[in-house]
Amino acid sequence: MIYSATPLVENVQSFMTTDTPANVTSNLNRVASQVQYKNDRFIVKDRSFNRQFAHLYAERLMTMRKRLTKAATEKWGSTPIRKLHELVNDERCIVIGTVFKHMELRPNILKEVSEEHNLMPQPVRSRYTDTKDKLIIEDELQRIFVVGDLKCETSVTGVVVAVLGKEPEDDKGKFHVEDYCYQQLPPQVPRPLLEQDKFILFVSGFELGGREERPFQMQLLADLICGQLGDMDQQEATAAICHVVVAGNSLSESTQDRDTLTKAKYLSKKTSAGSVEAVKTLDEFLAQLVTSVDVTILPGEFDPTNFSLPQQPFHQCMLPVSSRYNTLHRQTNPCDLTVEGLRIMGTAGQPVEDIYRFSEMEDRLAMLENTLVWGHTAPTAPDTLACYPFVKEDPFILSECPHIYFAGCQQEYKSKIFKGASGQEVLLLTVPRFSQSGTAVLVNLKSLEAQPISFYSHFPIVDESVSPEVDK
Amino acid sequence: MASETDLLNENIGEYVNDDYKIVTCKWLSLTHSININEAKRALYAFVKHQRKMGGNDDINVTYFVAGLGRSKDGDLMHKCAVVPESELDVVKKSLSTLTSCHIFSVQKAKLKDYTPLYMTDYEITKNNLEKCNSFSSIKCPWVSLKSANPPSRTSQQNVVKPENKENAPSKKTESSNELVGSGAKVSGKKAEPKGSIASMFASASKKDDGGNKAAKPTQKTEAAPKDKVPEKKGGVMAFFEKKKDSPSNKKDTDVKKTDATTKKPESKTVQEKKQEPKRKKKQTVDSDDEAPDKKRRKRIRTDLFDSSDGEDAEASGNEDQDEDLINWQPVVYDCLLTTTTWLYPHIASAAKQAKPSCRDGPQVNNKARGRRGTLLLRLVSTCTRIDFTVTVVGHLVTAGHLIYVEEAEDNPAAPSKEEEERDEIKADNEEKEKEKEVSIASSNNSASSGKKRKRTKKVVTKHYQDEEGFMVTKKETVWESETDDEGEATTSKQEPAKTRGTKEAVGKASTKNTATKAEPKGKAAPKKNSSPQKSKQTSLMSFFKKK
Repeated sequence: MIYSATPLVENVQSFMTTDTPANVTSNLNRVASQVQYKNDRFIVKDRSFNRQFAHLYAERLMTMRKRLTKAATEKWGSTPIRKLHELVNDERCIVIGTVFKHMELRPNILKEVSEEHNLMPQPVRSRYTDTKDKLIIEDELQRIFVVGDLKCETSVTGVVVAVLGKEPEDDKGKFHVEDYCYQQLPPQVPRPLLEQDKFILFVSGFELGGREERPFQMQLLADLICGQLGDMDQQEATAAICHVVVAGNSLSESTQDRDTLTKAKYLSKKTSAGSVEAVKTLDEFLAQLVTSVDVTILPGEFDPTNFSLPQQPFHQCMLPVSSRYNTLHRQTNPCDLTVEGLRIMGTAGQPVEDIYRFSEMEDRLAMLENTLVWGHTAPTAPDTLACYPFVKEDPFILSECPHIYFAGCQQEYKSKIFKGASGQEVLLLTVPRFSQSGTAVLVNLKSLEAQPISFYSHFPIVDESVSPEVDK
Repeated sequence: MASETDLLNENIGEYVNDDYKIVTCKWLSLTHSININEAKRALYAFVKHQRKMGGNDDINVTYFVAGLGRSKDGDLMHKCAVVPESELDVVKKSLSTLTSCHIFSVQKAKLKDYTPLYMTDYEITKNNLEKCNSFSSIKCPWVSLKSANPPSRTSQQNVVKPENKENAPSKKTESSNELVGSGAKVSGKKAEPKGSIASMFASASKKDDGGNKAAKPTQKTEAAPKDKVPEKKGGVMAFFEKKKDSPSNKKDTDVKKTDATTKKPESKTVQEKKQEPKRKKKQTVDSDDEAPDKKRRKRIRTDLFDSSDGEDAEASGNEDQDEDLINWQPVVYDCLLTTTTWLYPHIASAAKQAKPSCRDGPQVNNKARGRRGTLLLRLVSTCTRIDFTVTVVGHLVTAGHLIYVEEAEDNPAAPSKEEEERDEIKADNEEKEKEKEVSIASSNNSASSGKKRKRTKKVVTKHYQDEEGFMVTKKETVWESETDDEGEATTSKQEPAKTRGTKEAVGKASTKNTATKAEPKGKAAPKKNSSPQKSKQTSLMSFFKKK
C-alpha cells in the first residue's frame, strides 16, 4: 500500500485477531534517498550591517535585467528597450525596472520618528493596502509613475518587471502600460523517474510552548512516521517516507518574550524564557524522528534564530540530543534542497505573509504562484520584510525551476500543479500550521501528488450526570 | 511461545487490573522489549481474554484508526485518529477506506481525553530516547551518531560531551538520561519548571540528570563519563549533588533492594534521584516542598519562642535542657531553617531527602516526616548546643546508644533524660527507626565529613522562602562546618585558618541566638572525627557522622 488517493490495502486489523500469529515482526527498512542541500547562498558568513540595501536592489535589477531583456524581446519583438532617462515622449518602448508600491498606510519609520507631524504610532493592521496606492517603476537612475495594465492590487514592491508602453506627451511623469512581463521561468531539469514511490512529509507550525500546541497529535505523527502505529500495510506505506521537512515555527509566538529587555532584572532573574522549555520539547520530539528518518528543519518567524531573511539554521546547541544524529539537517530559511533528484525549494511562509499584507490578493497559493512567476522568492525584502544587506548577489532570485515549491505555516493546505511555458511542472504547496489543523502533507516524489494527513483524537464528552453502569 | 504470551498476558493483567496503569502499545513494547506489532497483538489477546472470562469487563480500550477520508473542504485526506471504543464505529464509518485499526491502549479508567495516554507515552519515550524506535516496525539502517567533534568552547560541560559521544555504544537508558542531561545543561539550569506537566518532566529529567550523575560514584553500573559530569556541572548543581551525596547513596541502596526487576531499578532509582536533587534544588528556590515545611515550621515557631527563652536562660549542661531538647527541637529547626535557613543546609537537605519520591507511597512520607521531626530537630538542637550536642544527636540517631555515652562526658545526668526522650520518640516513630538510622547514618557520614568538625563563621548570602512565600535573600553569618568539596583532611586544615578569619565576622549581625551561643561552645566541644563517607561539603550530616 502507498499513500495515495486509492490505497490498496489488505490485512487491515491484522492485530485484532488471536489467530495463529503470522510473523508480525515486519522488517521494513526506511526507503533510502539522496539528499543534497544548496543553501550556501543563504548562509550569511560575515554579518556586516554597514552597507545599505541599495546594493541589494542594484544586484537584483542587474541580474533580472538580463533575463527580462531576453523575455521582453521574445515577447514584444524589436520594440526598443529604454532606460528611464532616455525616454522619449510618446514613444512606445519597453522599460525594465523595479516596482515600488507607494502606500500611505505603510508603516514608515520616518513618519514615526518625525515630530513635526505629531503622528500617533500607526496601528498594526493585517493589511496596509489602500485604494490610493500608486505604482512606481524605478531603474538605476530615475523613477516614474505607472498606470495602466499593471495592477496595483496584485503587485508588490521589489518585483522587477518589463513594461511595454509609453509616456504620453500630455501626461508627463506617468508611464502608460499596455503590457508587461516577468522573467521566464528558468528551464527545469526534468524530473527523474523513480522506480518506487517515495514520499516526503511536509509539516510546519508545531508552535511548541504556546497555548495551541498539540503534543498528543505531534506524538501520533512521530509514532506513525517511526512505524509504531498502523497496521502492517500502513507501516509499509510509511516506510516509503524518505524525508521529513519541518518548515518553520516549531516554537510558538508566545515564546518570544520581548519584555525581557525592558523588564526589571530583579523580576526576571529566576524566570527563564519560554523558548527554553519549548526548544527542549522540540529537541526530544526530533530525537524520536531522527532515529528513524532524515529530517530537515527550517527556522520560522518565531524560532530562536535571527529575524531577518535568510534565517540561519537552528544552532546545534539548541538541539543537542537530535543534532548528534546524522539524519538531522538544520537548514536555512529559505531552503533549497534536492531529494532524489527533485529540486525542492521553500520558505517558512514569511514572504507569502508579507505579500498578503501589502497586496489585495487573498489566495496564499496564488501569492506563492506569483513569486514563482516573478522569479523572486521574497520580493518585498528588504522593503517590508527584514533582510540581510547582501552586496554581491541577491540569493532570493529564482535561477532554477524547482519541482516542489512550498510555503510553510499557512492557514490551510492547498496544492496545485503549475505549468510553465517551457513545459515546467511545479507543485505549489502551502503547508498548514500543525497547531491549528493537526495536518501534515505527504508528497509522492514519483507522481508529484500531494495528500494531506491529519492526526486527531476524538473523545466524547463524558456526561458526568449519568452514573456509571455497574456490571453485574 | 505460548508460555511467553501467557506471561505477557499476565503482566498486562497486572498492569491494568492491579496497578491501574494505562498500557499503551508503545509503552508495552518498550517496557518488555518486544516488537511493537507483538505488543499490539498481545494487547488484543489480553482484551479478548479478559472479556471472555467475563465478570469484570471494566477495562477501557482505545483504538488507533487510520484511513482515507474527506476533509472539511471535501478533499481527500488521510486521517489518523485515536478514539475510545465507543467512538470506534463512528470514526470507521467516516473513512472511505480503512487502512489501520488496532488497539492503542488498555486501561481501567475511563478516559476523558488524550492527556493520560500522552503522558504515559511521553514518560516512556523520554526514558528511552535513544532506543525508542528500536522495536518499531521500520528500521533506518543509516542512522548513526556523529563522531565527536570537540566543541570550540573550552568549558567543562562541553568537554564532557565528546566523551559522552564516544561512549555511544555503551549507552542505553543511561545515555538517554545523559543526553537529556546535556540537553538540560544546554537549555539552561535556570529553566524552571513551569505550569505544564511536560515542563515538570523536563525539569525532572534535568534533576534526574543531576541526581543520576550524583549517584554515579555509588553506582557501579553507570558509565564512566557520567562521573565527570557532576564535577563539571555548574556551581549550583554541584552544591546539591554534594549535599545529597551520602543520603542519596543510602537511599539508592534502599531503593535498589526494594526493586525487583532489573530494568526498573535503574529507572526507578533514577526517578528517585530525580526527585532528590529536585527537592534539593527546590530548597533554594521556591518550592512546594517548602510549603509543608513552612507549615511545620510555622507551627513550631511559636514553640521556639517559648522554649528558646528558657533555653537561653539555662546554662549549658543543665539537665532541664534535655527536656527542652524535645520541645524546642522543632523550634530550633524552624528557627534555623527560616531565619538562617542555610546555616545548616544539610539538615534541610537531609530532611528533604527524607521526603520520598512519589513512587514510594504514603508510608515513606510519614517516615520522612518523622525523620524530619526527629532528625532535623536534633540536628538543629545539637547545632545550637555546640559540638557535643551534635555528636549526641548523631549518635542518638545512629546507634541509639552512643548518644548517652557522649552525653555522659558533659552531662552525666543527661543520659537518663535522653533515654526517656529517645524512648518517647522511638515510640512515636517506631517504623521509621530503620530508615531514620539509615538516613541519619548516611547524613552523619556526609555531615561529619570525618574530621574535627569545626564550625566557622562565614558571611553567606542565603536564599530562602519565608512563611509568606516571599523569596528572601539574607546575608548572614553562618556556622558552617568545614566540609567543603575536599575531603575531611583538607578541610580540617582549612578550618583553623578559616576560624581565625571568621572570628572577626562574629560581630556581624547574626540572626540566631543559637549561633552566638554555639560559637563559644564550639571551641570547647570535642571535635568530630572524620567520617569515612563521601560528604565533601558543609553538610550537617557531618554532625551525625561523628563516631
